[in-house]
Amino acid sequence: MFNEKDIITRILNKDFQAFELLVRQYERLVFFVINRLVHDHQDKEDLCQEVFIKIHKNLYKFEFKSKLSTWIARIAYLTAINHLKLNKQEWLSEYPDNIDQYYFTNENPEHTLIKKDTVHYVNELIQEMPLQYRTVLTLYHLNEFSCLEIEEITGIPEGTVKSYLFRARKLLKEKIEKDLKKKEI
Amino acid sequence: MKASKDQKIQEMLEKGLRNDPQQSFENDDLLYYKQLFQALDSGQESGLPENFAAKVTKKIQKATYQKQDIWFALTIILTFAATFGTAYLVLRLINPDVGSQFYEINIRFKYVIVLGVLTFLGIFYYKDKVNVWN
Repeated sequence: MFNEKDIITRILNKDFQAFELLVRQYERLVFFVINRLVHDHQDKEDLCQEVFIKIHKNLYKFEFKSKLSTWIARIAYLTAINHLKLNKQEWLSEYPDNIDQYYFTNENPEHTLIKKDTVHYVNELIQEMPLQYRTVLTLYHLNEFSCLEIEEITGIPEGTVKSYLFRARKLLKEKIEKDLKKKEI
Repeated sequence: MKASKDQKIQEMLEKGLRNDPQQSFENDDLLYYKQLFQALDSGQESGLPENFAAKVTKKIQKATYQKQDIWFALTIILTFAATFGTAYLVLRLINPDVGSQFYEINIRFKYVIVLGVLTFLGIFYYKDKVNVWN
């Protein structure tokens, strides 16, 4: 059983085994966030390492006001955002003037649509979506955070989180529907 | 109308009512949404190596020890410097000639002192290197 308070106390007392346990517990969470937000494959492991180094350095600041997972996800989210800003990879284009007008234009992943592999196909589609949609989908579905927790992590108001979530899922459903129908023809 | 229908289906699936017999939506919409929710909820594999946790911990451990070693080495060097400085000042106050002799002796052996300090720092550097290799 992973006891947050006990683990944190041990880490603050320089117990490195306890820190390894913490990394094992949250490495998937951190990876999911980094993986969805950052496209560059080479940077992903380094960024995950950077997140855990920041966690170790700042753990004494954690005041148990939120869940540890929320705090860790926020660090992962901000690290990914900073990386995108620094590399200017997609940061500017990720904030289109009217995100509600977004629609899929790239038809490339179509060939990967095999009914058995919807998961893979959906993941490819998500990678094409704007940053905000990718963020809320990942935090809500993969990391199972509530909309309120997503607000804590990203700073996006809860109402906007719900709206992004709804719109992102609707877009994905319409795309799947269109592609499946095309495939049937 | 369409948006509200989508909203209802999404809300229904969020609540986990995936087999609600009361649903009155077009079968296709529900089917596609069901597929989508299953895909979204299915866990991805972590792309991190098996030993990721051990690797990060080792890196942090090394950095922590290095920082401690640097502080320890600096403390020792500053203590020695302060001891020499204090000894010189005390001797100057008691007897300025003895103070000057003490200073001259130290200056005469300056290379030995510098070599001693460098050797001391070298030992710490070598220790860190060995830790990295291990």
